[in-house]
Amino acid sequence: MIWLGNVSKSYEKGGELAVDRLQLQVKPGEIFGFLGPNGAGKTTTIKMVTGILRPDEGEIEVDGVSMVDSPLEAKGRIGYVPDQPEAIMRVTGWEYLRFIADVYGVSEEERKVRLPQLLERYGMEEAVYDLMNGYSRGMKQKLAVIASLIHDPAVWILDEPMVGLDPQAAMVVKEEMKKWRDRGKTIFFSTHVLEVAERLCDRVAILQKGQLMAVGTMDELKQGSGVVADEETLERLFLELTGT
Amino acid sequence: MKKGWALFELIVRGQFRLSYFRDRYQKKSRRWEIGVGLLGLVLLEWFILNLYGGAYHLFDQIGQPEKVFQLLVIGGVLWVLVTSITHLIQQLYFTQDAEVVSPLPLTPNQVVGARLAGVWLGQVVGMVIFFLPGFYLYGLNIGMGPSYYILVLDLLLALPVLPIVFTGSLVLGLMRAIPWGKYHHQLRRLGPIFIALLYVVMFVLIQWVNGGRGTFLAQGMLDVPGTIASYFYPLHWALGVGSSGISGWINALFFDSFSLCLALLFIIIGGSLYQKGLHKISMDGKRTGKPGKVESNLKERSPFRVLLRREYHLLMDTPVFVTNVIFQFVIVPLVFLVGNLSEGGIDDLSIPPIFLHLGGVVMILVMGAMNDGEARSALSREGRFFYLSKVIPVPWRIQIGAKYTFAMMILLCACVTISLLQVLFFGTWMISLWTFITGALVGSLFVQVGLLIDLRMPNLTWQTPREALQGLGRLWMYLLLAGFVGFVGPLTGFLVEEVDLPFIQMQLIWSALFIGLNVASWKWLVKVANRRYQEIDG
Ligand SMILES: Nc1ncnc2c1ncn2[C@@H]1O[C@H](COP(=O)(O)OP(=O)(O)OP(=O)(O)O)[C@@H](O)[C@H]1O
Ligand SMILES: [Mg+2]
Repeated sequence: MIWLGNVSKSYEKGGELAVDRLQLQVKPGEIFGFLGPNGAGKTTTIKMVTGILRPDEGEIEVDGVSMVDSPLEAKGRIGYVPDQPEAIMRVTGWEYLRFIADVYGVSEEERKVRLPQLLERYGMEEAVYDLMNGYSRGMKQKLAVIASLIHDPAVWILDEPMVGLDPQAAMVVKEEMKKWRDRGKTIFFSTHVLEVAERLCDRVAILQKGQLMAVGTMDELKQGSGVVADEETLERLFLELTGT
Repeated sequence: MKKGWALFELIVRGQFRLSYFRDRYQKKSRRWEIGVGLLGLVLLEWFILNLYGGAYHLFDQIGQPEKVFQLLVIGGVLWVLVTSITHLIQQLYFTQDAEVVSPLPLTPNQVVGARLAGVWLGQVVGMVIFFLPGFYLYGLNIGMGPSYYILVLDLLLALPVLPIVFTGSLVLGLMRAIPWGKYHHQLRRLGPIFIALLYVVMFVLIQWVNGGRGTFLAQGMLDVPGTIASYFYPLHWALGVGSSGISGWINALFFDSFSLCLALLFIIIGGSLYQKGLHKISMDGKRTGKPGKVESNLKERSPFRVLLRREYHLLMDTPVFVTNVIFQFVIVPLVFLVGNLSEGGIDDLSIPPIFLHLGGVVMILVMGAMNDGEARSALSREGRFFYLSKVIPVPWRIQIGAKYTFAMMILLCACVTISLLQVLFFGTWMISLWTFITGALVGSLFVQVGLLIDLRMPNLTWQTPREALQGLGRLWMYLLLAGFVGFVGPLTGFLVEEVDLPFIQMQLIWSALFIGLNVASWKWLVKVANRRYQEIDG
């Protein structure tokens, strides 16, 4: 579960709000899509949920644990795939995965089971022993996905996960999301692509200029029901997102 | 603890590029580089040993050889104090992995601890390379027992802790206190002012030494360790490690326990401070341009000028590069100063002017052309954004010309400094003027060689700016060229003495020669640039 209570964030003191009093709940066992045009505040929201940024105002809970009060415990329950996976250091993918496993306190038995599975599923069995600097964008993305799942998180958060992946890998990620949903986990991801959200998500939220424009199932939103701020804007947003 | 250790391990792997080197040298064809690197290290150590040998001899003559140990200890502390600052700022706040680490379930204490430990290990390696030879040479000369050599190793582990904690507190405090978001850009521009200030301090110092005829400073140096230690008592323990017998062990025990407690205390207290500062930094976004300014900014500028500005920003916007340049401007005048003192002051004005002049030129070369931060990293500094240079429709000639001009601007600063120093010390305007001219001409050659080296083997894939300044092949080239100048300089001086022409005529012939060489090498540089810019993968 992810719960955001009236969360606001500005990058400058007293400046424009990148996220404006956002109220949102994502339930366990659902795939939740976070839509919005460029600069809407999706990444900012996700960075607050993962504890990279601190909200100016409001509360954030992850799996029932407050990110503000007990950040360590909350972070331990999240698997996070950043929007720009960077090769942070001159280490191999394997060394990086080991580091992640250590940091999240994954036991040796669990590693033995999960790592080979994940590596095989994303076709990284060999590349994982190469230096990360040499990875292509998609390979970095795959490694970030694998790293985010090693500790079997209750909440899986992905920022623009499909960007840079080949269709095969994108398929695998989508299947993975469904599998995790069926296991009762919470999945929260951002995208600009309406089509992806339509096919995958149980519910979506649409964000614009930091404000929540609508929440609901895709069908609800199309019919203008669900929780909708103002129908005209929503229609225009839909058009923007579909690019027509 | 275990999690902090995992982070430490990853930092160390990245910092020393362990995985990278392992990957690189699994290929047999690359193995020769290890040999070259080792050879370079041996040369360096040999050079350092000679330096320490000379220093020991000096203090032996004054009759105070045991002061060498104390000066080494204090020197080590000061060394760490200076060199750890940029590394710390880099590690704590401007790492590219900050965004990767902050969503991980690590406590701020663990992060601070691991990052600090990384800096510490880097410093220990530096100490082993630059200070261990001095300590061991001292032990051999004084005739210390075997336990001394073990204690010194232990001392090198403990010694960096105190200065790192000191600079660390400074950095944490500053990051917490300064509203970065607002003044970030202005703060970076303070660099040049800092250099100017250093100049003033240096000149005052030199004047002072001049008045006191040198003995002042030598005497002063003897007192430095005691004075510094009296301000900070635990340093007495470090100084005491050099004493023989059981006393050395007791002092080591005290100093080690003290350092350990200090480190733990810092990590415990530093955690929360760090977290708050970090949040501030991650907020530090781009500056939005003022709308009203657009109109006045529409004026066209020549590509050359724009590129020159870009060079300025490439240098100034990265602290590591700036400190590198500053460093050379401090170290060479200091060497000049100490060198003068060790030769018994400046009473001896019977040095023929030509040697005075040559000495100045060599100094300029050391200062200007051989520094790490400048010409030899002119391309590498661009890093991942090198592609931009390939995309823009500006001829390579102009691009390399901007880099050359910028490097020359810095070199000219070096020329002015050395010429002024000569005036200060020897009061000979004429010679200083020629030092300036020849220095600039020869220095220009060196700048071009530096650019050629970087064109040949640029490092564009660095992750942290520090890496852009390193590189085995370039170090090797550097040693070769330094050796060449060290050989050719005195040789030409010798030849000039033989020919016996009037000073001015000699200078004119030299200048003509160097101007010709410059023109030729410039043509060559442009040719190479035209070829290499196309070959290098952006
Ligand atoms: N580091 C930063 N400093 C200052 N402002 C920022 C920073 N990062 C984002 N912003 C601003 O915050 C707002 C929201 O940005 P955010 O990155 O959250 O958008 P997004 O929805 O993820 O967009 P995209 O679809 O392009 O990824 C934008 O107006 C942006 O200009
Ligand atoms: Mg984004």
